Amino acid sequence: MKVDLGEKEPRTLVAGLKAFYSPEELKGKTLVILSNLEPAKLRGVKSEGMLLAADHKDEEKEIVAFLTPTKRLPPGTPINSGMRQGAKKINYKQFSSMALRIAEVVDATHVDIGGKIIEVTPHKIETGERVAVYVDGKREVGPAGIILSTGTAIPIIPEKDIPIGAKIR
Amino acid sequence: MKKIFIGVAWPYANGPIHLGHIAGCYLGADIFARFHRLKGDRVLMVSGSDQHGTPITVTADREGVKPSVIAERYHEINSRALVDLGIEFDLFTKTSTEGHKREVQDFFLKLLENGYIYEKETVQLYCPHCKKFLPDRYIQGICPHCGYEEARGDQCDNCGKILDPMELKNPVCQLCGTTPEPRTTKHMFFRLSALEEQLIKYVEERPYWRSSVKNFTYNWLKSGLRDRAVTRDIKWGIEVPVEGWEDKRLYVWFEAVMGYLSASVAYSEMKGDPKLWKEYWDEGMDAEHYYFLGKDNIPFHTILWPAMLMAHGGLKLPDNVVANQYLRYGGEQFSKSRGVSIEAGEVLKKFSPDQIRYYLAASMPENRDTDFTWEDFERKINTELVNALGNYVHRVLTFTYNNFGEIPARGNLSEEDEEALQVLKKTLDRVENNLEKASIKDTIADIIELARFGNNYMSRTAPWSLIKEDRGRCGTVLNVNIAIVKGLGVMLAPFLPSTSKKILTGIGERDLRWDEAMVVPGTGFKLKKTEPLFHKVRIEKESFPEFERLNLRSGDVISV
Repeated sequence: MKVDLGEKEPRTLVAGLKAFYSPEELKGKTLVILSNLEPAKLRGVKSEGMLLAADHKDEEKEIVAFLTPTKRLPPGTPINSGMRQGAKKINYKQFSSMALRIAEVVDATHVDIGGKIIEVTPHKIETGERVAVYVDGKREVGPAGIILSTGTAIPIIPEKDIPIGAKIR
Repeated sequence: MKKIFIGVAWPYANGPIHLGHIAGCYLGADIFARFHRLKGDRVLMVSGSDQHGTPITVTADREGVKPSVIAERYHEINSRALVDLGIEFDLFTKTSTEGHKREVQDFFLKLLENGYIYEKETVQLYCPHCKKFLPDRYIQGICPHCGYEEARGDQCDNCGKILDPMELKNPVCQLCGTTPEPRTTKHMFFRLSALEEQLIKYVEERPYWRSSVKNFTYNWLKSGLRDRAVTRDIKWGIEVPVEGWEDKRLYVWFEAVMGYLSASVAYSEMKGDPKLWKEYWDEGMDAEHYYFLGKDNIPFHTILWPAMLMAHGGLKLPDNVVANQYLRYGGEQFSKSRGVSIEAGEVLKKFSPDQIRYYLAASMPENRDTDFTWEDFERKINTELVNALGNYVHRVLTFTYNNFGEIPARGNLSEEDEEALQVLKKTLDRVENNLEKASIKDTIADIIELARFGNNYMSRTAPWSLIKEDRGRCGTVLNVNIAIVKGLGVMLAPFLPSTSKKILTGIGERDLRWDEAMVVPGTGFKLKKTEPLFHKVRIEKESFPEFERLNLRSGDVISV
């Protein structure tokens, strides 16, 4: 798949979405891309990044929903939740050790990440909305998580309904 | 010796108190009370949990429990948090006591007898779905003054104006979302309008109020005073002591403020001196009355409560009403109902009461809304409390201990020493003057400034060089430094009680009074090895180092 990140050339990504989305369903959509992942050869093709999608699996079915902003954004807009962004490459192992979850907004400083309510930095998203959240389990003081958004606070949400607590990969 | 009555706003027992409440009124009141006790004045400071009213029934309905369960739960939690923070009430009680009920009903009957309470038919919003009249907090709608969409029937959280539910645009029932309809019912009313002239005179006679308090009150008076309902259709509250009114209760705004009086009476009974309260409350007595509260509570304390006291007669009216602005978090007002909160109990698990008291005193929102951030918390504790104050005290005491083992005698004072003692004296006077006016933030800054000055004086006089050249002169310089330490210990007592005690015990002083702060330290007192007063705190920034390794960007799918 080719994705426009606002750079000179579009990037080639190898994504395992075939079983969940048809090419037509993806074309023209805005995705959230981890752009500083070390390029790796997957199924014989060099993949220059990774798209973020939430994944829920139970006995009956598996649901996968890619992440997307609530508003149309220019390609390459930083999804940094108002923080700094990584300049160095990271590898897949480092990324997969971080916890990203689908959560439901409880109030201005709390979200439910599936049976557990955690404090997040203050935001203005309405109660009940499903959002993508980064969780840092090691913090002792202050919020334990942060809602994924652009620097201008446009939140990142799953493209379709998916249970709270679903892991993002 | 003065008699000082201090009433502190009653926290609603429908949630845990948070840093906004502590900065809003409790800490300022406690510092003020401790200061007056230190001066030898007689102080009576009371407050308690406001346990009636609709915020509690709304929470109880949501949890499916009795209102008393909620009210008692948060009374316990909040009493504990206040004690743990060192807020020393003479009595922190609650509005569900028999004593409060008795005082409230007596007060009501007195107002009825004096002609300030009357019965009137009114039109009130009725929810056809829930089949009941809706008390104000059960109604939400658009504020007629500022257009805020989530204004409650009693008050708009956005502009602070007190509302009548009938004024709301597009009202809906909080319980079921149905649009309520107006229906006729009867209520008791307080004849506030009859007291307008008296109230204007009362406010004019108190030019020393903070300008925000004065402005707010004048604006209220300017828009004209309307009579206010003192009963409502609710089951949770104090019964109306009149036959035929069994299904109504006294309105919480009317009843809770009387807690100041009923708590004073309860305190007297507790002390086995049932008439004691009269020494503070009788009009003829020379007691001074101070009230501490957040700005949303101003009209209840500058208009409604004084009006009720006037209507009753014979009781002291508030002198100074000290209201703070809001402490905010993340650009929003701390609010239990909207979940923007840092609970007092949670912060106490991580930091000492004196660290919390210091930060909140130094950031007290006296004249403008102030933003709380953890970064600011860390900075203030580390640079002011640890580097300026803690370091100075530790430096002086450790050096003296190592080289003299006791407080050395004061010989002839140099010009520099005299000047240092002058700075101490001037700071003491300013601090006293400012605390009389209940001005907290500038005062604690002044005290820290004295510690900085002390550090500077210590460096300039360099006792580590003097000790080799002139032991007597070195002793004098240290004696003056210890005098400054002692002054700091006394001045800090209202702000940081346990730190003050630690400082003063270290130099052989205890139970000092304010006017003993300048007495020359006890020469010859055997010093002990001291530990630093404070340790630095480290707050993980509101940043997520792991998260910041990611570089996420939006990307549009071109082809698959």
